[in-house]
Amino acid sequence: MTSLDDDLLALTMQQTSASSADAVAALRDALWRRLHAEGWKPALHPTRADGGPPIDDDRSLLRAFIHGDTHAFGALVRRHGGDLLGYAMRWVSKDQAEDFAQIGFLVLFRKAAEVLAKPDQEVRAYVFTVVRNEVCSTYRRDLRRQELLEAHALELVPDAGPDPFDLILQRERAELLPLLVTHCNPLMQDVVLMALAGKSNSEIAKALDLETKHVAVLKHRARVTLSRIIAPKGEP
Amino acid sequence: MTFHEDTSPSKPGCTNPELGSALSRRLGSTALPAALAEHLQHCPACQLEQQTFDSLRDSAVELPPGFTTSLRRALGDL
Repeated sequence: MTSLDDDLLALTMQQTSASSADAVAALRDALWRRLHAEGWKPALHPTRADGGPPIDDDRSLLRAFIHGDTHAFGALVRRHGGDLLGYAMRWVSKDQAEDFAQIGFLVLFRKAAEVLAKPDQEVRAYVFTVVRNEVCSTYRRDLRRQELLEAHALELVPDAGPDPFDLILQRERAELLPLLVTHCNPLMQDVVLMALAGKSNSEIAKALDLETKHVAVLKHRARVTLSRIIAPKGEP
Repeated sequence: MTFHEDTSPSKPGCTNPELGSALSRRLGSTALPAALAEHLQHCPACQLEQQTFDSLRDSAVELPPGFTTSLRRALGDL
């Protein structure tokens, strides 16, 4: 059976769900079980109430959701939830990541009207930004809480003159960006990016709502992390 | 559950915050206006954001059982 056939069968079953006959319900359950056992997954195309073509883009799903279509809610979550949860899990615990992914959707649904009012606003991009900001906020809070880091920061290079690490970043920018994506948490990324833009530690601290010593710590961590990766290629 | 609703209009390290914000909104778009495409070519902050966004599928996980139910409940509490 083709995927299209499966989707049509599933749609047919959805439409028969209005019937209250036990026999139909039993048949539907049996078919669902068989389809899932064969690996079928829903195409995530909620049908429109007016019988028009299925909704298959994020903005339409969001619009449908705020008009009460619960299928649209589920479709949006299934489309993007796993990606966003996985992203958050790169940097925080699974429990915390689940919270952040949920927060992303909650903010989206609360701000749905504002999101839809901007014609160029991609729904997935919006939720991603919320989740990323949550991760950043967590790292910022953790940094403030950790007393040990304060002592460590005192050993770091003071904010005076150009940092050799910044020069390496400038020179190896194209190579380092993908490494930043995969190896440095979002707050560390922001610090490194601002250093790349020529900002001093105190300027970075002010922009990111951190203390200067925390910026030094984050740069130090980025330096250590990136150096470990690029050192085998000959860069100190 | 507490959360921030600020989607941060300014992007740290972006060489042109206005264009950077426009790019952030359009993450995932297949076509970009010329001005945004040119900015993306030269701005490390926007490149990093783009690369991160493009990599989301690489670390995707299955949603745990109860995720949607829990989300519905939280939504009802708002």
